[in-house]
Amino acid sequence: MIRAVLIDDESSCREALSLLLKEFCPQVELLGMAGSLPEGINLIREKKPELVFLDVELKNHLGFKLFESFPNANFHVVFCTAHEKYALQAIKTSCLEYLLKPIDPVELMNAVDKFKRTVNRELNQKKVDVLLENAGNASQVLNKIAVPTSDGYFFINTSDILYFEGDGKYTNMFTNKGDKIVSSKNLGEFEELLSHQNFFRCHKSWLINLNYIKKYMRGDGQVIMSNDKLVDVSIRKKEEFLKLFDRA
Amino acid sequence: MKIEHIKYFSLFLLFLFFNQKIRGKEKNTVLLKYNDLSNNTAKLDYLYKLSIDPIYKSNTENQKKLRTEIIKIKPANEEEQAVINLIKGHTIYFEDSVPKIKQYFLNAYHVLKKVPSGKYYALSLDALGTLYFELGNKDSTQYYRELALKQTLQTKAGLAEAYFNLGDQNYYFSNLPDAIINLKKSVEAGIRTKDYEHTALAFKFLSLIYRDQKTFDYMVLCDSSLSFAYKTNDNVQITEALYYKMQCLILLNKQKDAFNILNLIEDYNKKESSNLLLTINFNKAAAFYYSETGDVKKTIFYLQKNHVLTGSISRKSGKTGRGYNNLGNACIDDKQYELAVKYLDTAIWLGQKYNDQTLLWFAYDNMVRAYRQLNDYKNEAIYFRKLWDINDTILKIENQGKIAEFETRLNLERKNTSIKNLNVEKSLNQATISNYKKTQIIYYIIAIMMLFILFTTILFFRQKNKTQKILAQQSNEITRLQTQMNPHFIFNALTSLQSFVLKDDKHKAVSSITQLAKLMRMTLMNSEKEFITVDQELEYLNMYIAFENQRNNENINFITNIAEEIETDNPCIPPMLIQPLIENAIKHAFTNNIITRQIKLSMALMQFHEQKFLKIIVEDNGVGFETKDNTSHQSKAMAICKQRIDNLSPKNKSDYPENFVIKNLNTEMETGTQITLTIPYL
Repeated sequence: MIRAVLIDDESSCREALSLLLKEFCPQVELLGMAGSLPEGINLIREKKPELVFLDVELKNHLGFKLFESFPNANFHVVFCTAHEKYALQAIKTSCLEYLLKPIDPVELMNAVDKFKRTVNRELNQKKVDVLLENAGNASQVLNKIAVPTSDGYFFINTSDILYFEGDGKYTNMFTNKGDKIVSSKNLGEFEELLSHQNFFRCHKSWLINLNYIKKYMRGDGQVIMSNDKLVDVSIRKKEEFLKLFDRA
Repeated sequence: MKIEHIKYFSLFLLFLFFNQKIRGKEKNTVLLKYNDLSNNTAKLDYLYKLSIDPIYKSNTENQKKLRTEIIKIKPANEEEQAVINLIKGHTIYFEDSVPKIKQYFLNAYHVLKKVPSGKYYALSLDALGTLYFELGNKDSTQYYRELALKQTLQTKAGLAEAYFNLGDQNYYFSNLPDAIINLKKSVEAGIRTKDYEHTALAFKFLSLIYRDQKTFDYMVLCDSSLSFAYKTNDNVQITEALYYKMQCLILLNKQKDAFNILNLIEDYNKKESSNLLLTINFNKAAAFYYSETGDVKKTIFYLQKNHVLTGSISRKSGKTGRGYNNLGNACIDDKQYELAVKYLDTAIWLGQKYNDQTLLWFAYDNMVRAYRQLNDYKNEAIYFRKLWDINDTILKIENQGKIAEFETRLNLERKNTSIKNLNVEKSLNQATISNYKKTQIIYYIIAIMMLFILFTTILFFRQKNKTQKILAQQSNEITRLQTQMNPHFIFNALTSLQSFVLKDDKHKAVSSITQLAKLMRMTLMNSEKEFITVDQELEYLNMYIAFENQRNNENINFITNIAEEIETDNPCIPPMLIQPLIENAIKHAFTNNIITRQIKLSMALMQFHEQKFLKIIVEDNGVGFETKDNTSHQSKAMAICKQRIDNLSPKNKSDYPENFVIKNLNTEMETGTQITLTIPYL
């Protein structure tokens, strides 16, 4: 049995999730439910669960604050969220699990399955660090992201990324230290994560960090990155691309 | 004459052959070490060094050995094959035809070009440059030497040598300014990279150039050259420099000092008698010294000795030709006119082959002198004619530069005079025009002013358009955001429906679905309007609170207090202005210890500066504003609300009451928050 608790400020949401767990995930033993963050902290201390379902926006608090009380959390968290755009962004960058409300039973089962398969405390802690770094930042600038690779996760500062190159289902990431990292996420997902972070999708298969552009060649519609890599700018993106620099 | 020449030449070669055979034996031992080397790269490096060693490669047998060794090596890749070709080219340098050598070098160059970082690329360039230099092809030499220089500039090694080669070539083709620049660079690079050999050589050439120009104290440079030559610890370099110094001293009429230096050179030669190059240097110096001091016999002795030696270690080039010329000259002085003719013939042949105009001039001149002494007027006439022709060509070359200079000067002057003429014409015209112009100026000013006004108005309207567009965009954005329901609410509502279904509570599920549908429909309808009536707003809010109560299983009391003077069917409230405030209160105000939860909505009219305003007050008995954390969503809802009210307000703020006030109602007895909105009443 997986020992779990859930924290949500809306009674109807607590009810819905507990019923879903009973119906679809009988291997989860729900030890208790809490309606606010302080209650939730007490509940975790008391019951010592392995898994916590946590609403992102609790009454008057962001759910992330839970980690302040448990700096070395020995439980895993699955976030539940209705529509917190920026909080969701932070969760996505950290590669922690999340469920969208109303909760889809299939996704719930997947999340529980995944928890059963991979219980790695150290990795979880790293993900939480990324989450807190990004979520604590009021300016909505992502400092760090977790990049899923074939054999785990790669944690990197966004300011260290030169560009991404799409390669079908995979993405090659190039860093300013000369590393090349192959990720199992596709380029579109990275674009969604980073489009507000000074990254620009200049081509079907390129997502570049605007801070690392060395030169734009008007004639060929190409940019030279700081490592002298030539990157194409597609004709459709050209105007948008140039506008980014007109403001400056 | 030609048969004679060939006869002489074959005799000469025969002599060389025997001479080298003796010396070749000493050098054969070096190949022994070679067999210890294991890998290709080391072997190639070793063979390359041998192939460019002037003494080693001058022996035909050594060359054969080199060739057999080279054939044994199996190249692992294209690059090694190219290096092998390069070495092959060097091994046949003295024997085979130029096209074949060129072919080897060019092949090596084209392959090595692909990996310009390798050291052999620069060497292949250098080999080609040297070959073209000896063929007298100025452009190709320049091309390859410059490429070699560029290459060495990149790899940093051998920089001094590359600069020196370029300078040497410039000097040879009489391009003195460039020669000076490149030689100076060579000196700089040589000192920096501790390449003292080329530093010494560059100093020597600089001194030579300044000596020819008589513009600089060339002895200083000569001494610098000598001091750097000492630093190389290479006796050949030292004797070279000493020889040059001796030449300078003789020119300055210091025969005694010169003789001392000659003795010094001889000592070096004796110390290392097997070193061919030292012997050559000594012979050279001795020949020069004796020719200058008038001892013809000794001059010829040393010159002849040297020719045998120099011929054996360097390709017959224009330089060797000069040696023959010197020999011929000396023979004339010694009254051996027929021998002189033979030497001069060879000199002329070499001069023609390598296109050395200066050499040809001297050789023809000597030839004329020799035939005059032999009373052979016919040949004298022939060579005199040739001398005359070459004089012309040399003069032509020298004059071409001057002519070009004069032409540019002439053109410049022509231009200047034409400009002057034009100026004169202009001033004449101006004088006649000036009166006419004064009236014109006024028209100009008017036109400029008109243009200025036009320009500024265009700019003004453009700017206005731009700001309007931005404003419109902003207000669109706000209405788009605010006339929707909070998506967070919708998703949470759907979650409640989910729980009713899971609980099998059909009754609540059905009624919640219809309530939510009604709410959404009203939101859609209201969002199309700019203003809705008080009745519509109240209906909407009542339905919203009822839905929230049902889904959260709560009982929030919603009290409304509308002043009678307000026309409830008058559209005066922007849609979705009040709902977010109530949603906020439901979500954040009430904690578990507040039992009777209550939200109160009051509306009243007020007069301010002769204008009617609608005052909307939302009050709850929750925990109060200050004790709540400002989560992003909450403050965002407030901020949007304030922005919308600001957009409704007239531009002039002084005519306007405060439009958005949040007040804390916390006292000892009770708690709560009060938000007051003030909007114009239409």
